Amino acid sequence: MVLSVGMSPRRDEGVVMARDTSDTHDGLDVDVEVSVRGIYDAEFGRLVGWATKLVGDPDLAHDFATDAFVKLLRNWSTVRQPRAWLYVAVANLVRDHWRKRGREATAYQRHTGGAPQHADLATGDLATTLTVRHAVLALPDRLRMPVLLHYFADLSVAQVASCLDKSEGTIKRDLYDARALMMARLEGTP
Amino acid sequence: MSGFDHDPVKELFDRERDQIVSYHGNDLHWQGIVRRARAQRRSRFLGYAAGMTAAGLMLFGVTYGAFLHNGTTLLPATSSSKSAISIAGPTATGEPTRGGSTATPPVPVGLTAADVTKINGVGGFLATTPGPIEVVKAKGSEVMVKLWPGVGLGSDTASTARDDLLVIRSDSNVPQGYYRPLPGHASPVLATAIVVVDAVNGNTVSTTYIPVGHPASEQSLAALGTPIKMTLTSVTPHAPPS
Repeated sequence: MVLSVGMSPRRDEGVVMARDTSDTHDGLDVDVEVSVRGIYDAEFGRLVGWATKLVGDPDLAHDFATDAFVKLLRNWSTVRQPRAWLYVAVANLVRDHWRKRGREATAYQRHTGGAPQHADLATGDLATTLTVRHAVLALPDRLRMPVLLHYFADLSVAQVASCLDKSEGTIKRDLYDARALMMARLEGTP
Repeated sequence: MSGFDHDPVKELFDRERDQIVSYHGNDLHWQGIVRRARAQRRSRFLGYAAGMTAAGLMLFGVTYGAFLHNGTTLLPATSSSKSAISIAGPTATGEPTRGGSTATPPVPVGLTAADVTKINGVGGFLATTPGPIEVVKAKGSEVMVKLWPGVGLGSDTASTARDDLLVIRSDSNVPQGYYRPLPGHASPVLATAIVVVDAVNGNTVSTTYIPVGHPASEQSLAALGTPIKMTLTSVTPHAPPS
């Protein structure tokens, strides 16, 4: 459960700023619960669906989204853009999951003598059959988060840069590189 | 994304976004989220509070020892005291030496400011005990006390179940508070414990638990502290009540 990226965006105009804490219940501000409940109602379902497209497992995606909301409740005072924060939190969990699965796949390939596990991906019209999961997984690790957050979660470049604690120029360059790689793959050019 | 008449990358993500199926949360699930957040916050707060309490008591002890009690006695002779005796550690042969007679005139226990600092630094064991602890007699040359501080000990809880043992110097650092299932409790309880062990025969003389709260979950057991050893170097005898 690693939230390694910057989780307290501050450079964008804050959607929700730091709040006063008044009425507390077991260490949680009642106002915080009300505020996060509103975000939960608006974003939870979509967040689970978003994660499901990335991990292919609705139950796992549900767990990721739940963990993200638990953390949002705990860290509410430092969160300025809850929606972006949630997507970054879930994207981190997805990335960790991918890395874990990658290690498992590597071990499995070593065990089976290098037989490919996903031969189905090499066939068919990629422009219509390629999923975002496989498209992003084909990218270098450093390009995955910007692509997920900008292209798939619809966060602005500024939001992505803030959440990942990078400059906007760096994010734009990463997106440019990622787009070139994905374009080449979709168009079948080497 | 603009500037491309036919943008397969954009089409890919647009298509995938359109296929996202939204799931619906519910009140029950939301309450579970809130419970988890509360539990995690509470356990984090308890750890923080225990640390701050220990630090505060340490600071108080240092201040008390360095400025308010500089070089004088920690345990003044009470009206019922007959004398103060010192008990040395085990001899080379392992035989303990015993204190002197209680018929000697009353003299203060010879503690230095450093001793007081060390004592008070251990969770405020003596600093929070109002007044001197009456000591009847010495039972051994040395005792070791395992002490898990984290909260100050009140007058009712400072007892080690035997009035004849008094810890006056520690030889280790201060650990944090800990959780442990206490006798009669099904779940772990945040507590401070004093365990007096006779250094001569290794037997536990007494164990006193002072519960101070209930942790959120079994995970708090990870905060179990390592006991520290304390050595009894002096006692103040006084005449037992007639």
